Amino acid sequence: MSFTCEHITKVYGGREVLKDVSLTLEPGKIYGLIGRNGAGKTTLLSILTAQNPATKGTVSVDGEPVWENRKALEKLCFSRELNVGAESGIAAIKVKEYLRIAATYYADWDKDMEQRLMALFELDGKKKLGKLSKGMLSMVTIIVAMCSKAPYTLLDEPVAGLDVVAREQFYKLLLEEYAATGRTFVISTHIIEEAADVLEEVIIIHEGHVLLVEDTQALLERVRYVSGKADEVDAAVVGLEVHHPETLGRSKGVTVFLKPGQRVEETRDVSVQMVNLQKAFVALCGEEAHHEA
Amino acid sequence: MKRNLRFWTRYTWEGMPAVLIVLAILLVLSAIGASRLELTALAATAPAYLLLAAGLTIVMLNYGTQVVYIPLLISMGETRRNIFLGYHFHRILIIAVAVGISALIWALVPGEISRLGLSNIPSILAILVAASSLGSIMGTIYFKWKWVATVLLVVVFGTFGGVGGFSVAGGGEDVAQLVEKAAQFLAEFPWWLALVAVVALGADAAFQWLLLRKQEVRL
Repeated sequence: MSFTCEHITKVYGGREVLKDVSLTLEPGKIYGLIGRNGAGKTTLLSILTAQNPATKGTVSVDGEPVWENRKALEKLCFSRELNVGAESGIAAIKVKEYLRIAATYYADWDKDMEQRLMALFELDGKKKLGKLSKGMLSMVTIIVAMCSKAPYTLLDEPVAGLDVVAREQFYKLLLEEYAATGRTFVISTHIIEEAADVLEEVIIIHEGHVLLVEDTQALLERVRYVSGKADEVDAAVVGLEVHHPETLGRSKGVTVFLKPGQRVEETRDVSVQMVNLQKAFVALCGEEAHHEA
Repeated sequence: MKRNLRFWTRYTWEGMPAVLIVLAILLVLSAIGASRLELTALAATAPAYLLLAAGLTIVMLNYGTQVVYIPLLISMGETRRNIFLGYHFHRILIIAVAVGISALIWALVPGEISRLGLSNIPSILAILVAASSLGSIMGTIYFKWKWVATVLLVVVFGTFGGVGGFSVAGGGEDVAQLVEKAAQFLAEFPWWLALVAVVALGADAAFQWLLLRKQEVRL
């Protein structure tokens, strides 16, 4: 029982957007998919759910290929970020029509939950999607994701445009649904620190490569920010996986990703601190990030 | 597939007001252009306009289907194969409803036009299939390559419009008389019409599938 993709490559106009991506998503977990703009997050989610074809590679859920397979697709829901610009055709669709289509196609659609969430988010079903704010559009995508009851549910930037209260409502809703059903969620987000508490595993994607798939807590326990006098810091991190060096005069700071059995000695001139998920992400994917070990 | 058919049936049903609006416009235009307004004659020719309205509606709905609904259904987890089948089911349903209502009216309204209309049903079906297939191809071309479609539309409809207008002006006949004349010609189902319908349907199906089979969702 798992949701896997093997050797996925996607080429757009001669440019490789995804490069030989292989991934296994276990059931009953909340994954965070994080990456910079253009890293390939939406493309990956689209390919995982057969919304877009891969140039190379395969995707399967519980052993069944996903492409053009209704049985496999019924286990999946990818609630995309809705863009309703002037050129978009879906702008003219009303919220209730959008949800009615979703209810038609998702086999286990929860109508009661739909009504509850419409009330919670104070959404007007008669409004056209094109008349909704960015936050309201996110609410619609959240409703589709939650009410689909799909065993593997993928959300693309679900909190984009939401205010802090609505974001809290979303995380609470997510955890309640997860606790009640054990569904697998994959959440692509830019608001990393806020989501970090609910993400059991984190998938970091950068320039079309999956850099890391790891238990969030285990990751944070092995990442350290080492700072102090430049030469002392350099001596302290010899042989370690070093990222994102920052130099200010004679001082230096680096982020290290420790492997089992490794540690960094704190001395009078070298400070060692734990970091949050956002800092770990920046260390891996920030512009000056580089790998020294 | 059951859920897919449910969607397309409802989509077709929701498209019916568009058919009625187009029909009303055509009837008003016909009444304005006619030299006499006789209720029985109008009732007998109305089905012809209904069929024309159905054909035009299929073409009009095609754009929205391509731009909005097909990507939306893919994003809701439907397969491209089922969407392809559903899309054709939707077109057949509109044609079937329009032909069914037309046949019923012709069966109920006495007169020569009704008799001709009933004898024309095979030809009408073939014309609707051919016209809606060509319309579907045009609509898709417009969706994918707007400027090419605009040129094609101007050429095709300009030619038909010019020829039609010239015939009407030259013959001194109104639209109802032309419909009657055409009905007489088509009463004996010409074999080439069936061929045209089959070729147009096949071309449309092949064209749609080629585009749909690898379609990407960008909502």
